[in-house]
Amino acid sequence: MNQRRRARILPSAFRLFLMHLPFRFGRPGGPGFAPGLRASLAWTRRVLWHALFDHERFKYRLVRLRQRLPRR
Amino acid sequence: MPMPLISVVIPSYNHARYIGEAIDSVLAQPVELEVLVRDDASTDGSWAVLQGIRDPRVRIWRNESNLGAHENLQRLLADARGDYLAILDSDDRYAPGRLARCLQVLEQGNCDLVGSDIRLIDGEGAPVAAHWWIDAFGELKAVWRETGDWAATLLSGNVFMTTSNFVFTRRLWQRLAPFSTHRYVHDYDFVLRALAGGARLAWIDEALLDYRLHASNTISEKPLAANLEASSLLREHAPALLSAPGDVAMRTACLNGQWARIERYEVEILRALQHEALVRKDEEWGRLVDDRDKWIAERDQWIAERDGWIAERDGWIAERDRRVAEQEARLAQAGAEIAAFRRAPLKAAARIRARAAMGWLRGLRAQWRGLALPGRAQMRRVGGFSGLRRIIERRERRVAALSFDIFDTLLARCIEPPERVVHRVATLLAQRLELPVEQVLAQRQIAERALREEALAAGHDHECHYDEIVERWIAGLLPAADAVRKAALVRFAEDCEFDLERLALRAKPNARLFLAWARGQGIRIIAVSDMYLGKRHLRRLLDELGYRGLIDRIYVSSEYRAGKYSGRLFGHVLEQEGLRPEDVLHVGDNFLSDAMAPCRLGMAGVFLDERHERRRRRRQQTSAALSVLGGVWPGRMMAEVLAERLYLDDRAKRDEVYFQYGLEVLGPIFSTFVHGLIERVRRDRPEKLFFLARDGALFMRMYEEAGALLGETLPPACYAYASRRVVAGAAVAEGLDHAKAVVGLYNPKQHGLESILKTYGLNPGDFADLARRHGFTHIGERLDDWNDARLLAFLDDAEVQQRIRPAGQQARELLRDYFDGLGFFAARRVALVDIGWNATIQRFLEDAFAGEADAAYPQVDGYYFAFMNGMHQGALAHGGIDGLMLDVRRAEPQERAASDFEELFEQGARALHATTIGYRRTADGVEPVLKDDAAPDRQAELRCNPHIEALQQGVMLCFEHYLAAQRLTGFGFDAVRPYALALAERAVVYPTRAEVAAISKLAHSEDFGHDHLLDLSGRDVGWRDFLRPRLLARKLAMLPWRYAPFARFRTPLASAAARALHLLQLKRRAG
Repeated sequence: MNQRRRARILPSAFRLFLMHLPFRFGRPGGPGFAPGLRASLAWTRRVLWHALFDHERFKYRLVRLRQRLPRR
Repeated sequence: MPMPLISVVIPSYNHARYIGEAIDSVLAQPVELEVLVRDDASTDGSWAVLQGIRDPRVRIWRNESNLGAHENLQRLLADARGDYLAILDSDDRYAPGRLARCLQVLEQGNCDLVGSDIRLIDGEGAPVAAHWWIDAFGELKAVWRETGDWAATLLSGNVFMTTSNFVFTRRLWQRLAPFSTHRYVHDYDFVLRALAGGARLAWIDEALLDYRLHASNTISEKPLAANLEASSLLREHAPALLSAPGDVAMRTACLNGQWARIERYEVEILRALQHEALVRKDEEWGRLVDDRDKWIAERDQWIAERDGWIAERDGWIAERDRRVAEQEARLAQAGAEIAAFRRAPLKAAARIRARAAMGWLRGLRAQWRGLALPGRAQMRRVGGFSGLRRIIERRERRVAALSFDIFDTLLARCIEPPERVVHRVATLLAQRLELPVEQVLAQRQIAERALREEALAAGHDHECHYDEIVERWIAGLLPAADAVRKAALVRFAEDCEFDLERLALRAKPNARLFLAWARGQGIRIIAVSDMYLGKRHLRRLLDELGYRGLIDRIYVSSEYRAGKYSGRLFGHVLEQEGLRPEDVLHVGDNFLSDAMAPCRLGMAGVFLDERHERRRRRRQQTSAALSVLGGVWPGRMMAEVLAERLYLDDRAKRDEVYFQYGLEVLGPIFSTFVHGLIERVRRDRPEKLFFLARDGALFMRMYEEAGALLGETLPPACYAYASRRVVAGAAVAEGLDHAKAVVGLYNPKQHGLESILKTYGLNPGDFADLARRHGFTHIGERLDDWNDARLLAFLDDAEVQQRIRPAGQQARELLRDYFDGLGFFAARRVALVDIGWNATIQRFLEDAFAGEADAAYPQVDGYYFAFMNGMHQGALAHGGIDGLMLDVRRAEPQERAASDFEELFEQGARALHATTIGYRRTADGVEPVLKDDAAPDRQAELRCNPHIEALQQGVMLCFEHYLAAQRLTGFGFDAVRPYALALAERAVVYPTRAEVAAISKLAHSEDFGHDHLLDLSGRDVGWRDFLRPRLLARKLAMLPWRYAPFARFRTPLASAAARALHLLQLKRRAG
């Protein structure tokens, strides 16, 4: 998926947050398409966690590490 | 010698019982007499008794109201005609011969007033033998007998006793009249005055009068008042009587005697009164005292009860205290035990912790050992199929067979987590069985777990087959159902699962290319999967997804009760295929199952670690987890699925700006709208849907596509060539009023009367003379004031209306026949679908046809992309209006993006044909007349039609994947709408430069009131304008796409600021 398509169909939570701000400042209204601060934080946390600790890759790195270590 | 007439007067008052006897005693007297009776408004029937008397000597009267005794007597004596007068109280009676004896004395001429002895009788008329009254009369009589002096006698007391004892001459009456007003002693007063005036009194010592003693004697009413009146009389008359010739000492003694008696009486009476008062008070107080005693008794009872309660409470308190004490004792004991426990096993706890730490270390060590590979193991990691090809090409040993994992290796998932499909199947099954989803899902989990445990117990890996799962699942849900129904449900569940899996999975394009290459190299291709679906399911799935002829054999864990993770399935594959491990290379995305397990068997394991797959899983798992929050997140999850499907679809790779814009920008927004439309149609079930030209064209294609893709029978759709212009023309068949006229002035570029007339399909030239008549300089003069007096006068002009009506009626006839041909009037409920804004066509249709006398106008529901409610504010009588994406009546500002650039959505949805400008009759009926292609605005449209076509192809492709995503996720329109609104906001307010450039090239013509081409670009705004805010604001206000100029900035901050200012401006206007 190219970057343009992602920007059009899947704008980031930060972008959604930015887009809803004028409604919050401009006039009162419901949450509309505000992603919500907590949800945005949850999104960020999960994305970071998966990026760092994807379990398949983690196990693979362990195995490669073990293969590189001198055998006893 | 004739006998003199004697008049007997009887004042009557409430003596019904005695009056008759009294009158009879008078009438029995053998003298010439008349009887005068006057009833003083008796209330006891006395008057009825008197009316019953028929003797002519008796004359009776009745007073209207009670006058009192002396007044009544006065009137009677005034009416008396006799020479002699006698008085008889109505309760007394004469003794026989009384009047004759008295007349005899009076006739002798020696006296003026005569009395007689009196006999006391009771109520029954019997003589009373002993009574104080007899004693009193006797004493007075004795004074007269002893002294023979009337003055002394009368100073002692009234010896006559009663007026009934008076028989006197008319002359005396004329001298003394009237009786005094004393209530009790007017008789005594009469006698005293008579004596004092020199009258002669006489007495007959015979009892000729019966004085009746009964309960209501006047004298016994108030004895004290009677004595006080008597003493008053004595004080008045005593001086005259004492000064008359005679024995003064004797008279004084008599007077003193009476004074003493009166005083004694008064004292006794006062004492009696006092006594009675005391008795009354005593009775009254007695009741109070009784009450008090009762209250005191009651109070004592309450006090006793309270004491009982207090005693009971004390018992409870004691019980509570006892329990508290027990509890405290137990707590103390427990505390002591805890303290002891805390103190004593510290070392034991430390030992447990140490053991746990050692266990964790052991677990880690086990993990570490589990990750050990034999030294000769060939494990590799590749980032994609091109990497895999390089490995095979560079490998020293030839690969005889390639074994592939199926899911996430050959087939890419579009939705995470995979269990989502199972959940959707359970949802669909629950809907069919009308059971809770949770129950259906739980039943499946129970069935699957039981099967897996059975497999483990039998010594296999925990694998089970889908057929067994479904059979046991349905049996668990409907234990009592017959076999036919169960079989039908099993088939339904299998079909659902297979359909959803097919939607959820796509072939990886590179994988197919790679397999084709590998087969070309003579390498055998084997697919190996840990999956509960059977081999036939997977074969069908792979064939339908593009792997037909590319895979030689398929091995599934569910068929062999052996998984890849344990190596058993690989062993089975090697055995079945007759291959040596070193000749096989297995590729898969699961590190343990697809890389480690084959390596342990001596096969080459390749860990397929694709960056895109990794990121997809990460994003989709996150959005699936957040979708339960509502708001934008369900739509976000659906967009993830949609984007993934588009990524895997080669058709989406078409590199064309408008196609991509339709696919990525307008596609999700329009798809959401049609999703909502389908939900409304399912709910309201109109008989037919009329998609209105030209903007309904795309929506109709999408609607029909949805019916085909979903396999659902939706109400039929019909394309109606009906522009606002032609329907407006029919709406003025009965004339043009002011409310309709101002519709033509909504456009900022309006030309007054010309725009109004063009709006309703009228030729402005036909009205030029009439316009001049009402003060217009020319027909195209702009009208800023919608209530302009000239406009009002123009509309009031009968000649204007006369010219309008024939054209309107002709337009209405044609429109009716055209819509009749479409079946509009034959249905009872229809729906109109259009881009919307003001629902003008729906309103004008109702105006044109619903008001006709014999109209069979159906209920018309308008489903619009957006409803602004601007031009017309009244409610419709035949149906409703529903703005699905934007409805200003909801007052949700976040919806408003569509209204800030209406032209974008109109262009995206419009048909390629020209706008409808009228109808004409043909042999087959009525057909629409479209605008000539030679018109300049139409020429511009024709030049843009290829772009529009490409854009709509993109939308249609997007819609196909949107429907698949919707079926996979199961989200409804309301759940997805917030995200689609966010995408619309992004498209309108935060466009990119490329987007602005592309959209600006589209020619937008307006067919309602004028034929202008609208410039969508915003090219008029230059860099310098941003330095002059006022000028910039003025220029922006004139632009149809006011956010286009901000696309030149790299960051969205300028657009966001402009958006905020615009919203503030709207707020100020609304406020």
